[in-house]
Amino acid sequence: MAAPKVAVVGAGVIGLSTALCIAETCPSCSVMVLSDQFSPNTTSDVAAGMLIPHTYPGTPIHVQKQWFKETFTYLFAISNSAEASEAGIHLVSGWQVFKNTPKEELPFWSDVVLGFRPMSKAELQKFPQHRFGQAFTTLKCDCPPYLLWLEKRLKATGVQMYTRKVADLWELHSKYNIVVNCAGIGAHQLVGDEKLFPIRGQVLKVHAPWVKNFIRDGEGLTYIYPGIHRVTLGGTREKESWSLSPDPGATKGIFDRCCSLEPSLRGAQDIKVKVGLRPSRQCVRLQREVLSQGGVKLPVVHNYGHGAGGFSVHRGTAKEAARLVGECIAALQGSSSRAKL
Amino acid sequence: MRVAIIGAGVIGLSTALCIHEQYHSLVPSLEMEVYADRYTPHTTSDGAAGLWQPYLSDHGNLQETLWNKETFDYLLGHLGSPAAKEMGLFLISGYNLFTQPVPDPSWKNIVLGFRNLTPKELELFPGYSYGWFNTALMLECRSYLPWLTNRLMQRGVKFFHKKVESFQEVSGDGMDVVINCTGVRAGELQPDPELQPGRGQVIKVLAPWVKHFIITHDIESGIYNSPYIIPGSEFTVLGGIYQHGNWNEENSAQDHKTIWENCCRLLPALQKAKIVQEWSGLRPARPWVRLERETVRHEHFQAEVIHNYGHGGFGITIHWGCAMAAARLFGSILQEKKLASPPQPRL
Repeated sequence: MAAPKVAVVGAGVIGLSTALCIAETCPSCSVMVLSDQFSPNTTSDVAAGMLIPHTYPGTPIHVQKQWFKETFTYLFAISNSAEASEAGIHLVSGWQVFKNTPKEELPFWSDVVLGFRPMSKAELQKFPQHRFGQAFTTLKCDCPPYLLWLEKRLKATGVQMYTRKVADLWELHSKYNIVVNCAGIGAHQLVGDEKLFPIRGQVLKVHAPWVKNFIRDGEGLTYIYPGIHRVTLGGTREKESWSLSPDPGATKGIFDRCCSLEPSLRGAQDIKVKVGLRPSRQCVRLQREVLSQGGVKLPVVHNYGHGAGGFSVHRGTAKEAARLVGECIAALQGSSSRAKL
Repeated sequence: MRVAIIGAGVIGLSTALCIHEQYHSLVPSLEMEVYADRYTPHTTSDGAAGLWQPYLSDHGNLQETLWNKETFDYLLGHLGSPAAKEMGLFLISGYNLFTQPVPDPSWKNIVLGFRNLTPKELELFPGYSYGWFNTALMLECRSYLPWLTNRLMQRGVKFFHKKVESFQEVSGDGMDVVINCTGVRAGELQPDPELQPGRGQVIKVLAPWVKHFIITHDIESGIYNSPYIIPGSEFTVLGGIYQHGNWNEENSAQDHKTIWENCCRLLPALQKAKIVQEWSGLRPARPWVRLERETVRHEHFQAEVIHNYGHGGFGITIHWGCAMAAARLFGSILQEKKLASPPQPRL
């Protein structure tokens, strides 16, 4: 196969990073990104982009750890380079605090982030309602900058991007040899995956530039993540809610919960409300599939269902997806040479 | 009782507030006046980034270490209050970097979460093989000094824009106590060969992605002669200049180059940062802080002077501990004056 044509559906952090990995590992491939939304209107743009993993019940821990480690290492190198500010990648330190001591005091990712250790008594005094805490330094991917930087890298390698709503993967079989499905929550409709469901998240993005440290309540519902220009305050976790409209009651709830962790937030200005639907699943769907219709075959690589942890594992799953694309190409080349016999 | 404070930097204004808070109810007749030739934003304090951090070694000066601790604890207590934002007060974490192992500083248990850097963290800083991480406080004077000024004005303290040439100039008018917070120019009021300028220069840039302070140390060059990067609420301060004995308040192109090149080497992403301002100032350097009473006599006049100057590059770090010590000295003056006042008439 001379120049395999690969269509990547979806232009959030998963779609763009997967397209980039494919372009990097398969220089002869012709890669195109198709999506109905691009930054700043993707689910990824709503997220704070903090590298703090979410645990997938259906994926072995060592696999999740590998994905996180690859992602962290990749971003760490960018944060240390001259491109850091353009890419929106920066280090941030802070605390994860618990009202009740967690069962697992050492999460699987504690040796991947920097300087992980339990909080001292003096540090905990700042959080009178919390009894236990962990301090560490991690990375944050600010969006839109990170997605725009990925788009720039893609254009530089010759990858084209098109705004287009793909309603059915079969639409693509005539023009493309392989389809990569990074449609996120869109996969529910696109491939009819009933195991994929939204967990609605509302956040506030506020102007509070004196907040330099992150604070996260160990339950995961309340968090304060300082970005380059705005601080993301969160959040909500509403299972099976498809509504993208901001909820004023949730806004007040988020603001009050965050102010109780960080009282100075009362002085925050210019509060913007955003809503995103986490594409949630027991495990990330990261696998090959060959679709078949009327004698025609269409190789598909799925890479979706990252839920609340997309940023934390994006590079690791993108590399795995690119590897699966390589397997698809090998399979196509194998079958085409067999056809010659 | 009339009190004159000379100097309106962080030392002058905080000493004024501390004394007024503690004594105005005990001394109903307390009248306080502030005299200064420079007010915010033109004081030495205004140029400082505002990071609470003492020098690496206290040289056995435990009293200064205690004043540093008192300041940190006082500020930490204000963190959760509604005033914090207006004061320019917030928490910040960051790195101190060395080219060789060094002993832990006197302030390791004052700051929060003090620890050594891990090998992976040191990968961020090529050329540095040892370091510390801790969480400390920022107190930005361009907010703090106006906040202090407002608190003082609310209390009826009067302000005068004037260059005071001598102690008798302010004390001749029935002033009972003069508090000398004149910083680097204290020698103009009373010669002090121990007081020297420690000239510094800084570049203020827009680099909002920088969330940590990074302070490098070169044991041979001495304090502040090695690059540092300190992110504020609006600008990030780049520095690394300390010139003992240099009175020049003009910006130097050579120093600009030194700061810019060294800081960009430390954090390559700074190359893209937009430069907003350049500033030079004179740290009031002294082997130790001059914080003591003196009865100044000249011909027919006599005044009780409390000296509170010579805080070098750690004025913000030590200010409240010194203000409280000055207030204690003020208290002792009050005691003496009560003893010296005429006895009550017998009924």
